[in-house]
Order: sequence, then structure tokens, then C-alpha cells
Amino acid sequence: MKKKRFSLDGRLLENFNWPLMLSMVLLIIVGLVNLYSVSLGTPATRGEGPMSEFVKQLAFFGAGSLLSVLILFFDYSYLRKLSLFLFVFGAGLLVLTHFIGYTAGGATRWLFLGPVRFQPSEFVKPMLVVVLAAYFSGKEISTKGLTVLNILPPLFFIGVPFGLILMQPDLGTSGLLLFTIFPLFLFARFTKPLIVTVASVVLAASLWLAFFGGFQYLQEKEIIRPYQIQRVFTHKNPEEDHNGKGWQIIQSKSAIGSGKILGRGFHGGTQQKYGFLPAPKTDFAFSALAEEWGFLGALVVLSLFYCLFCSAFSIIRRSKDLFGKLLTLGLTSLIFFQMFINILMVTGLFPVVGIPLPFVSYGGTSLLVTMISVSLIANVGMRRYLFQDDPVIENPEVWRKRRSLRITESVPLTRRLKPYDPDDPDIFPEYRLPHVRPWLKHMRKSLVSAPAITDARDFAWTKPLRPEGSVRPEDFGG
Amino acid sequence: MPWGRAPEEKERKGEGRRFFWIHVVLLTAFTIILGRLWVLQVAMGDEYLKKSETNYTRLTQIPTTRGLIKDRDGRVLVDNSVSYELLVTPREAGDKAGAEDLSRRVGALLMRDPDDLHKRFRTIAARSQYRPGVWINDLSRADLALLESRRHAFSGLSVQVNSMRKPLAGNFAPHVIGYLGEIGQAQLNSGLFPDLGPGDLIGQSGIEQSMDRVLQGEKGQRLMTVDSKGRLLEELEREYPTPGHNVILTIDSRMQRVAQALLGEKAGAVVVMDPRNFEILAMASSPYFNLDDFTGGVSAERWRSLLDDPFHPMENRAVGGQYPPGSTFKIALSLSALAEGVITPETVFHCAGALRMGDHLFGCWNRHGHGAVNLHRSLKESCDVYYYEVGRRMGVDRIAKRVRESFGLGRTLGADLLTERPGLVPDQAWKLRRFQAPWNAGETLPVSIGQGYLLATPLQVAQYTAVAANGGYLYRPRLVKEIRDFEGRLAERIEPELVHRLDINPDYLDKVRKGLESVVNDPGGTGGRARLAGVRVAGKTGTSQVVSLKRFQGYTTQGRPYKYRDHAWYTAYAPAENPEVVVTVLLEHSGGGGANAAPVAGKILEAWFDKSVDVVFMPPYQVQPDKPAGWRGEL
Repeated sequence: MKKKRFSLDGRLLENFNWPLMLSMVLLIIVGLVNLYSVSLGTPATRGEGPMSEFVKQLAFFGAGSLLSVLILFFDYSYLRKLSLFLFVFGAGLLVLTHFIGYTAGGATRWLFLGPVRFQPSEFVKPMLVVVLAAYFSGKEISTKGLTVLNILPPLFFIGVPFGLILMQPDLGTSGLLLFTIFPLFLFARFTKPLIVTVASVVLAASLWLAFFGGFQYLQEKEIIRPYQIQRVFTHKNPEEDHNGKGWQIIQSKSAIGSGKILGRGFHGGTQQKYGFLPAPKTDFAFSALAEEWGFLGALVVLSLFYCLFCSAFSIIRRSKDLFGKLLTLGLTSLIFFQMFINILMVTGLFPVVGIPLPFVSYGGTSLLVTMISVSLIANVGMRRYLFQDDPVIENPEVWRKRRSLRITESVPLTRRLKPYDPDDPDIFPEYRLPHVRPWLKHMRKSLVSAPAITDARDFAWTKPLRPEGSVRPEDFGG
Repeated sequence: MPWGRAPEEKERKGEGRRFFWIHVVLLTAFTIILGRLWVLQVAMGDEYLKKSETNYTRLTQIPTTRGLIKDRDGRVLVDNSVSYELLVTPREAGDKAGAEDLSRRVGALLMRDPDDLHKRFRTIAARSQYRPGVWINDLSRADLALLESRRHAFSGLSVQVNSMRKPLAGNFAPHVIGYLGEIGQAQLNSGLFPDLGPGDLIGQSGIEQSMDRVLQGEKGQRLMTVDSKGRLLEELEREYPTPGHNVILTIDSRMQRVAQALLGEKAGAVVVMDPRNFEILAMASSPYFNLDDFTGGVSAERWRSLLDDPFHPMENRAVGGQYPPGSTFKIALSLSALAEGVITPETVFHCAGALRMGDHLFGCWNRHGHGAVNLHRSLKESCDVYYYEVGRRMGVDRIAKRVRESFGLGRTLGADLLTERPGLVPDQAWKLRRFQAPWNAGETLPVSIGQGYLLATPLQVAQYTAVAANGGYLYRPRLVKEIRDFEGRLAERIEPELVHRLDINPDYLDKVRKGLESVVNDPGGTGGRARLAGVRVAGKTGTSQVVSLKRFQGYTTQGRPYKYRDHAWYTAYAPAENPEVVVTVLLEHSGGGGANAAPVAGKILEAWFDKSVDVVFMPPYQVQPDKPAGWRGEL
């Protein structure tokens, strides 16, 4: 059966990951509340009201929601075919930025799209994830594992945007790119020669940097800028430099620390109210939040993030499509590393690099891109049925429940599923799916219901499996 | 698509391991973050809260008013005046064009040069954009009114009220009153001024210095919120300042004016004291400086010229100038000798014009000798040989002990001025300490006529005159009469403080006083020029040699170089029967005491008894020349 690019199916909603979306929306709302509080005290700048940024962010939230919903209708596997085009498009945007981009603070990072200013480097991050996911999920690599030659194309895919972003210059985003890609590599299987090669290259590079003057060489060629080094050193000793980056860290730490457990209340943070906290709307939004809502508020935010990541991982686990898995993994790690680096940065454990906190920090492009990423993740989760031929063995949740509860009786009117466990055949005949979603019971009536399973032995594991890519018509109701 | 297709055990297991590690990484990351937040917010939360609070609050001080200094009749000698300064906050004045426009408008309104204003504006802006700086520092009340009426038209301007010291007259007793100066680093480090910080003013001389604690008052405090740019936003708390106490001096300003006028431009000092309680009625030292130069800070060149002046106008000669007291010391020595029992009033010594001691001849001022001299004649004619003999019999150690104990010589009694100096009373131990040499018996003789190593300040001369006048009572000389708070309530009245009582036969004391009376009133007395009609004055002249160079022996005063001329002393009290005032006059390098100092003292005493005598105009204060000038004697 031909896969439909835009398909609406009952299982789309059935497999929709609500916790993922809910935690994202809650995070964005928390970010909006925080932005509102920070904006309250600040005077109007450049002829705009104090709330102009809040309104903008709200507008971006709306636009992002629309875009996300649109993306949900779109089958993510199509991205795989688009990946090369996406890569060329993203790299082209970066090159364009280099020539006609808008410069602020010594860095050319922005492009104007009519009245809207946006950062192409933000779009490039998920783009790179798509490209690499497509590459690694190719047939040869997924079956045989990564060889030494296989690693060269991804290096090119990474190198081009990395170099272009580094030239802007934006060390933070380019470094984040590397962090994001890392788990994708780890998820692929390395062949032994590749492991040896990578180890030796890493060893040689570190030796060169440490002992053979590589550091000076990089500095002389202006590949590493002095302020970037200074940033690293400042981080080591923030108390010494009271007016530069170190001051930012001190103020940020004071803000977070002064929140204590319960926080200082809505609009009660003096660090941000009186302007001591640098960039309280963007990079240091978490500090403002922790100051006003304390440890508990920070805990809520972190829990939401954790919930988001866990749902994303459950999607990876349940997905049967390697491209989908890798795509989800890449996008999740993108969000995760942004969050992790940002929070480490504002708590003084990491140098100050301009990486915003996803969903919470003010920034239209960033919000849009992270919302698109999450909707892509949800997209992968929704469409896992496309690759399912055995709902039980491919549903880890079912596995877990079976192991712990050993349910032998099922609720009537639910889909009866084939038990499959070569290790423990005792429970095999009576097994039923404990996967109950009551509200779907009624929905299914309107759609075509699954065939009633009368005899569990129909699904015996001895039965031959279907050929690759085939989908039984009865799975879709005939 | 291997994952999608078959239950391949191997691959599934590998993936499970990866998920395990991914979760480990995720949990580790969240643990790190939570741990860090716990450390910052829970473990160190109080610390950071304090840090944040000191971040946004500023404790600023509210200046207090310094106490006034008044004379004994309650007339204000030093007042506080208010000066207005126009402050500008560059950031609030607008951009570059706005600043130029503001300078032009303010300049037109207040009749100032707009270019100057703009230049000053730029220096203020270069220092800080947000902190207000002093733009115009001499706003008049008219300027203030103009500004206030157009307040809405200017942004970024504010007016600061400054309290300044305003002396009654810049040349009225500058040494006694003193001036304020910025607190020095050494004073800050000394820990004596815990409430003060850099830039605060404290008294640096005179009463302003010695009574600083009383005059200062307590500063108020204001807790303000402030933003990261240092802009003050709102006031949280306020603690009001307490004004300093007023100090009422013992100075009689009429006598002070008279003394200063009579001293004129001659280098010297005058002390007028009440012998009954040692209240200093006038204390003049010349040359002097102008207090007006010091209000609002003395300029560097002014200060340098004052320091470089060879006549040291900053020095208060009345308490800080140490001179050989000359023949006036005979009052102290005769009283000491009588109290010790070395002589009686009837003891007679023969003056042959000189006394031989070893191979050295110590001459009397009268080469021809006074013949047989008793106490009365020795005082009246100031016979040196008589006192040589007294000193020889008494010995330097007994002289020193008596004179320190009974007259406060060689030590300070605390006359409310920190510049007071002890003078010098030599004895054997001192000689050994100072020169590592034993005392020669011959060195006692110059000391006994107030020469040699002996040094005394004019105040100390006034002290032993007063002891002779009041019957042997030595009090602490005082400049401060009482201290009142800013509302006029009495805080402290300074009572006379007896230091020592001379144990002497009253008849002997009476004889000394008779001798001093005859100095002025009898023919042949040395101090006849201080005689007054209607009041009997008792006194003693003194002519103290600066050097005993033989080559100037025959020269007149005018014939000698200025620095080798004798100091002229005169010390007197009146009325002789019931003394109520002591006057001591010292004229540096002026020649004989009877000829030069006695008339000055006479006029001061006359002014004391005739209350209508006053000096309406103070002697004009002359700007000290940078180079020594001839009018005070050629150097």
C-alpha cells in the first residue's frame, strides 16, 4: 500500500504524545509569564512600549502553534527526501547572511525577512539533524555499521554550517551544533577500524593543541578570537573582573541565589527589576525566573523539561523507523543541550555563550524553531503505526507492564494483541493488551474498528512474518 | 529497515543499552543542575540574598550642621553659610545636541558663558553619564529663583545645598578659631574618626580642630534603592542628622580686636588672661592668615605661599612659639626661691656689674653694677647678678622642679589648642639625655635670668604672671567657656581646674608683687611705659637675647640683622591690688622689652579698663607676599 504524505488516521491521535505537547505548552506559558514580569519594570525603549516584546513573543507563540499543527499533518518521512535540498537551502541562507546580514555587537547573525529579523543559524540546527538522520538511516550504514569512509560525508555536512556560523562569529551556536550531533554518532554502530581511527585522531589533536602550539596557531589565524578565549578564562575567575562577563555571572548567581526556596514573588526580583541582571529576557531568563519563583519554580521548569525529554525518548523507543528515531534523537538533544548549557551558564558552571533557554527565553526564531522541532518529534511518534507489524513486541510499554503485572485477563472491547516472548512462553496464550485509552474507545467507533481477535493462536509466533514494507489491509480495517 | 522488520535480538539489546546510557546522561545532567540550584538557592541563599540587597540599596549620608563658635558674650564668631551648587546629570540632559542646547539656555538665563558650561558639561559626562556632577558652584539666590521659576524647562538639573563655614571676619583670631580641611589619609587610618570617610571636612587647626568632636554633630542616613547604573530611585529609610554643639569661647572679642590692632604687622604674640580663673580673654599672634582663604578649600598656591613664608603666619605664637622668656622669668624664679627658702625678701646680694663663675664672667645688663640689691630692687631694676646668685644657690634641678610644678613651664596644661607646645625647662638629666654631657654649674646662671636653654611660650609667661597676681594658684588656661547644644541648652560648663597651688608665705608673695608694682610705677623701674592713670599696674619687662654674639654687643637694635635682634617681652597685671587681667606681650626681634613691648601692653590694659575703647575696623589683612618683604624687618 502506498504511503500517504498527508494522512489522517485514528491511530494518529491514538499515538499522539500528549505529555510532550503539554509540557512544551506549559514551558512556553512559564516563559511568557516570566517575560511579562521582567518587562513590567523596564522602561520603553526605541519608542516601543515595555510590553512590545511580550506581545511579539505571544505572536510568535501563535504563529508557532499554527505551524506545528500544520507540520503534524505532514509525514515526516518525506523530510528524508528533502534533506539534501534542506542542506543546500540552509547553507545558502548562511552564506547570504555572511554577505547581506544584519550586524549587531560585532557579529553578523541576522537576516531581514520583510519586517521580521531572524537568525538563519537557528534554522540550520534542526536542518543539520534532518540531514544526518537521513544519512545514518541509509540502508548500508544501518545494517553494516559506520566505517571510516562513511564518516566523511557527515563531517562535510557538519563542517559547512559549523564553519559558516563560526565566521559570523558565533562560537556558542557552532559549538552547540557539535554537541547536538554527538548523540547521533553514538547511536549509530561504529565498526572497529573507525573506533581506532577516531581515537587516534582525537589523541593527535589534543596532543597538538596541548604541546605543539596548536592553540597559538589557531589564535594567529584568527580562527579563535581573543574574546572567546577570554570568555573561557573569565568563567574560571568571575570575581576578578567586575565589569565584564564575570560581572554577569556574579549578578546571575546573586539573582538565582536570592530567590532561595520560595522565590521573591511575581515582579519581586530586584536583580532584574533594577537592571543588575544582564539580558533578563533572553540569555538569563532562567535567572530571572529562579529569582522570582525560587528553587520550587526552577524545579517546576526542570520537571517540565524532564517530562518533555522522557516523552521524546519514549517516542524514540517505540518508533520502528530508524530515520524517525535518529531525527527525534537529534532534535531532542538539540533542545537538551540548549537547556543544559544555558542553565549551566547562568549558574556559573559554564562560560557565558549566547545560548537561550528553549521555550522560556525571549526570541522569536528560537521559539519557532524549538516548537517546530517538538512538533516533528510528535510527528514521528504519531506515525509509528506506519512501521508497526507487531503492536506488542514493538510497544515497550506493553513489555514493561507484562513483566511487572503479568496480566492475563484483558479488559473487554480492547484490541487483543499477540503475546510474544521467546523467553517466557508460559504467559503466551492469554495475553492481552493492557493499553487502555477510554476516550479512544468512542472515537474508534466512528472510524473503522480493528478486527476482533477470536483466537489467540492466530497470532502464534511460529506464524511466518510478513515481507518487508507490507501492511495487511486488516490492520487498517480492510 | 532492520528495526522495523524483525525481532533481531542482538540489535534490540544494543539499543536497550544505548537507551540506558542516554537516561543515565539525562539523569546526571538534571542532578547536576538541581545540585547546583540547591547550592545556590538553599545552601547559600541567604548569602546571595544579602549580596543582592546590597546591590540595589545605597546608604547615603545626610550632612549635618556644624556647631557655631561664639565669643564669651555670645556673639557668633564662626557661622555656617549656605552655598548652592547646580548639578547636572548628563544622561538626563539628552544627547549631544540636547546638552549644547541646555548649556546655551542655562548660560543665557544665569548670565554664564555657554561655551564654558558646555566644556564643563563634557568633563562631567566623561566621568559618569548617570551620576550628577557640579555644573555651577556659585549659584546666587537670584540664580536660584530664576532656575526654580523655569524648572519645567530644564531636565537633568538639580540644586545641591552645601553648608560652608563662614567666619565673622577672616582676620579675627584666625589662630584661635582655625579652619576646616578635608580629612587626611593619616587621620582616617588613625581610627580616631570612625564616622568619617574620605572627603569629609574636619577641623585642622585651632578650636575647630580641638573641639571637632563637639562641633561635628552626627550625620543622618538615608537608605535608597538604586539601579545598576547607579541612579537613585526611591528612599526606603531615613535617619535624621543631629547638629553639632555650639562652643562658647572665653575670648572677649573687643579685647581680641584691640590686641590684634596693637600688635599690628609686627611679628609677635599677645595673651590676655583673667588671673582669677585663667580664662584667656584674647590671644593674638602675628603675622596671621585669613580664614576666608580656607572656606571651601584653600588653593594650592595660597597654601604654598603660607608655608613658605619665613615669618610662619600659620603658627600660633601665643601657644606654639617657644622663646627664652628673658627677665620676665625673674617673677617665676623669685617666687620659687622664696618658696624653697633659698632667699627671703630681705636677702641682699651685691651686684658689681658681673658675676665670676670659674673663668667666666656673667655680666649684668648694667655694666656699672647695682650695688647692694634686695628682692624689691632686683625686680624693679631687673638686676641680673642678683638672680645669678639665686640660681647658683638654688641649683638647676630645684629651679626646674619648682618652675614645672608651680608655673606649668616645660609642659602643656591643655589650653584647648592642640598646637600648644611645652617650651623647655632644662635640668641635669635633660642635658645628659640631650647632649650626653653633664651639666656645668655655669649653665645655671643664664637659665636663672630666663636665657640659656630655657624656653617658654607667651602663654606660659602669662601663667606665672597670673600665679603671682592671684596668690599662687595655677589653673589650666582655658579658651572654652561652655558648650551648648544647637537649641541653646547648656551641655557643659567648663569650670576652673586647679593644677597647683604655690605653697609660699603670703608676705613673701606680697613683696614680689610690690616689686612688680614698682617696675611700672616707681622712678627707675624698667616698665614705666605701661603706666596707666588711675589704675596701678604691676608688670615685668624682658629682653631676651637670641644669640650672645659678642660682635653685636655694642650695636643698637636697628643696627643688627633682623634675626639677631632681641625679643621684647612685657608681662603685666592690673589692678595691682586686686588683679583682674593679665597681659603678656611678645614682640619678636624688636629690641628692649621696656621700650617696645611695654607701650603695647599699656594700651591693652587701658582698653580693658576703658570699655569704650574699641577697634571699629580690623587691621587690613595683607596678602602675604611670596617672597619675604622688608616691612617686617630686613632679613
